Amino acid sequence: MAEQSIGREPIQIVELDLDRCALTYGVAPCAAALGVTGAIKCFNTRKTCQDTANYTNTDTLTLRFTKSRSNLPTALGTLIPSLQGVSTRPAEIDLETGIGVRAKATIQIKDHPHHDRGIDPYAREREYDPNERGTFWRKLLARNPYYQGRAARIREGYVGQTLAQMRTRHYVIERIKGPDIQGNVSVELKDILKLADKDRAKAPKHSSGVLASSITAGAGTATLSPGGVGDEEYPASGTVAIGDEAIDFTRSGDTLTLTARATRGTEADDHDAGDTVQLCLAWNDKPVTDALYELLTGYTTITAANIPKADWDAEFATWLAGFAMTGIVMEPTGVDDLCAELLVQSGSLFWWDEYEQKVRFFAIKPPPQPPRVLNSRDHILEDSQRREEKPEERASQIYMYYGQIDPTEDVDDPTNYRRVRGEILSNEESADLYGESRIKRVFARFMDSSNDGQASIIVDRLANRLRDTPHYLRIAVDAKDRDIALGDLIDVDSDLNVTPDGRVTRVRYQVVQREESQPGHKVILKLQVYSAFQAGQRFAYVVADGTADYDAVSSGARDPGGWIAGGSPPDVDGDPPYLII
Amino acid sequence: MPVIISRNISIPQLSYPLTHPRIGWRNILTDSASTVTVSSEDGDNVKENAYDGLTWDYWQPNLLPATLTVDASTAATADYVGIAAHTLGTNGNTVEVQYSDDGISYTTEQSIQPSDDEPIMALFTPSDHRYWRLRISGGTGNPLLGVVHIGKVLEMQQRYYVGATPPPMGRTATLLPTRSERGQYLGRSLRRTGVEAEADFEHLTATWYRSQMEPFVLHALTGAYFFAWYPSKYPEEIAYVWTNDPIVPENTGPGDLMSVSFTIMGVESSG
Repeated sequence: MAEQSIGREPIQIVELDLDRCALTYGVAPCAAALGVTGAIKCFNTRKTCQDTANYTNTDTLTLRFTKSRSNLPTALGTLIPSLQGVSTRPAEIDLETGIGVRAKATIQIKDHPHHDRGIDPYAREREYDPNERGTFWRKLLARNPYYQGRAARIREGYVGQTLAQMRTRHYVIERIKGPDIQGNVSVELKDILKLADKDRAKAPKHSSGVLASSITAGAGTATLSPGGVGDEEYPASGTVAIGDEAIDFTRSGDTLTLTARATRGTEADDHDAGDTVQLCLAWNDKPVTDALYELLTGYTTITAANIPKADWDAEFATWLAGFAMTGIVMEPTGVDDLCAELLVQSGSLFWWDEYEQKVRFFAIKPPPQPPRVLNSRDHILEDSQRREEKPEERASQIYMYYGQIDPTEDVDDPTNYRRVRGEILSNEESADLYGESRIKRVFARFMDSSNDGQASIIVDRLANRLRDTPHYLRIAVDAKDRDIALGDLIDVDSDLNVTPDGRVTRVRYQVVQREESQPGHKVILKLQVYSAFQAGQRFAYVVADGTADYDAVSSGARDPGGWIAGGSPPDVDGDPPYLII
Repeated sequence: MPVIISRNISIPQLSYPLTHPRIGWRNILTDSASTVTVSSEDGDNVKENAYDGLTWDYWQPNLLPATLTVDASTAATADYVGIAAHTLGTNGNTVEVQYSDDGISYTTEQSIQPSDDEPIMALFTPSDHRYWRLRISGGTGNPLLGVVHIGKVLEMQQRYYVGATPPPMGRTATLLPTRSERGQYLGRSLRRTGVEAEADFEHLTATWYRSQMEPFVLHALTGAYFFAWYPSKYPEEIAYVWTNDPIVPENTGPGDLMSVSFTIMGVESSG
C-alpha cells in the first residue's frame, strides 16, 4: 500500500528516543548493589542511576506511539495506541530573513496504566505490580527528566509499509507537559535549527578570561586570569575584544602577545585589570557557506552529519562565488541572528529538511531543471486554493549598506557603513502605478568595501523580487504528490492566476511551507511567487568547450544548453534568445 | 477465522444451544493461583503480553515448536480458547490446544490452522485439568500473540437476531476521498477504527442473570472478552471486544425476567 493506492490506509507513528544505560544493575562495571546503593534497582536511566561514575549512555529506549486503530500493524513491533493527535506548525522559508520559521510539532497523548514491560528492564523482579502504581507517563518522566534535545520522529506511511518505507520527519524534544488530571500529555517537538536559537547558541562563545593586570594603549602583551584559562578557552591566535578595542594576538599559556592593536576600525585604549578579554568571531574573505557551516557546527550542537556541505559548496561555487564574508563579531550574538544576516547578505536561504535530516542551503537562482507543473485538473484539490497578496512586502527603494566602519557601533546604523548601493524604482512609485515609496534597507556588516559587485547583485535581485506586490498561493494536493518538498520550485496553472483576457497563466512559485494536514492523505502547500526567475523566462547553461554546434546535437542535449553566438543570434526556432546572467 | 467447534463437543453438556451467543471472558491464565510458562520469548515480546488483555503488545517465541503453558495449581475447567491480535494466519502456524494432569503427558483437545489473523475462538467439551497449554508449530515464522484466553465460556441464556448487527460487520472507519478542483478522482484514504455493535438480550431469568451474567458484567467493567454472536450458523463471526459503559440490566415484567443491552467495541485482524 502506498501513495497511489486507492483505499490506502495512512498511519502515523511518533517515536521518542530516551537515554538508557547499556549496563545491567550490579554487573561490573556497574557497582550498584541492592541494600547498599539503593533500596530498589534503578531503571537504567541517569536519574535513577546508583553508580553514576559508570553510567553508560550508549543505549536508547525508543517509544513508539500511534493512534488506536483496528488493524494495528504487528510487523512494526510494539506500538502504543495512545496517540490522540499531532498538530504541526511546519517550517517556513522566509525570503526576507533567510532563516525562516522553525518547525514545531505538538503531540497529544493519553496517559494510561502500564505494566512497565519494555520500559523497566527489571519489571519482572519488582515486588509490586507496576500496573497498580502510577501511570505510564508519570513513571516515565520521574525516571527520565533529561529528555530535552533528544531525538524524536514522526513517521507517516501506510499500513503494510515498514518503518523505513514511511516518510519520516525528524525533530528534537523540546518540552513535555502533563499528564494533567485528565491524563492528557503534550510533547513539544522542534526542528533541529532550534539549536541555533539565541537562547541556546551564541557566537563567539562567552569568554571568562580577564586581564590579570592593566595594559596601556600601546602595550604588546597581556596576561589572562584566572590561571589556565588561556589553554581552556583561547586559540593559539586570533582576535580578542577588550572594551571597544579589537586586538589580534598569539598566545602561549595565559600570555597573549598583542600582534596588532586597534584592528577592524576600532581605537586603541588603556584597559584595566579585570576587564573581560572576549574572544571574537572574525572572518576574512570566508565563503558564506563556510561561515554558516562554522556557526552551526562550532557554536551549536548541530553535527556535521546534518549538513550536506558538499551540496553547499557546489551551490556556492555555481551561484555565489564572489560572496566572501569579512567582518568581526565582538560580543556573543545569537547564532540564528548571525545566520540570518549572512543569508540576507548573500541572497540565499536555508531550512531544516525534516525528512532527510539535512540543513538545506539554497541560492536564489533559476531552476536547474524545468519545474514540475501542478494544475487544477490533476493535482489541486477542490476548494483548496487561496491567493493572498502581501503589499507590505513590496519595496520601491532598495538600499544595501556595506563596509562597516566600527564594529562596536550599531549594525543597523546607516552612518556606520562606508558604502551604499541602491536602486530606486521610480516608475513603480509613480502615481499611475503604486503611487508611494516603500524603502527596504539591508545592512551587510560582513561585506567589506570591495564588494561593490556583490552588493549590486543583491540589490538587483531584491528589486526584481519586490518591485511588484508579492503574492502567496495556498493549495492542497493529494498524497500522490506528497514528494513535493519544502524549497522546491514548481510551476502552477491555477484558476486564480489569469491574464487580463482571462486565460490561466502559469506562475512559478517556491514552496515556502509544506504541511501534511492529514498525514498520508492530503498535503497543504504555501507557495511564494518566485519573482526572480519566473515561468516563461528562459535560461540555459552555457555548454562546455568542445560541444558540437547547436545544429549538430540532439534536441535533448539542446534543451538545457546554451550556445553563445556572435552578432545577431540565428533565428533557430522562432523563440527569443536566452539571457546571460 | 471462525469459531472452532469441536467435533467431539458434547451437546447434552451444553446449557444452551450454539444458536445462542458465547462470551469468552474467563481466563485461567490470569487466575491468581496460576503460573504461566513459555518455551521461549523474543526480546521485549514476553509471555505476560499474551494474557494482559492488551491488543498492542505481544508474546512471541523465538523458536518453534513453542508452548505457552498454564499450571492452574488445581484442576480448572475449560471449554474454550480465544486468541486475538495474532499473526498465526499470516505465518501459517498450527495451534494445538492441549491439556494434562501431570504436566508431562499432554492430550490434544483441538488443532487449529488459522487462515487469517482474525480473532479465534475454539469451543470444546468442558473438562477439568490442572495443565492447559497452546502448542504452536509449523508455518514460516514465529507468530505474535497479543491475547490468549483459556477458560469456561459464558453460554447466553437467550439469543438475539432481529435488528442485530453481527459484531464483525459493525465496522467503524473514516473514509477520506479526494477530488481535484476540476472534478477528477484522485484517491481515497481509509482508517479502520474497529467494530462496534449492540447486543440486546431479553427474557433472561433473574436467577440466571445473577449467577451467570453478573460475574461477566463485573469483568466487563475493566476487561475485554471474546464474543461469538451465533456460533452454529455464523461461526466465522467473532470479535474480541470490550464495553465502554457499565452493563446495566432492567426488570421486564411480572415473570421475574430481565433484559440487558450493551454496546461492544473491538478490533478486527492485525495489520
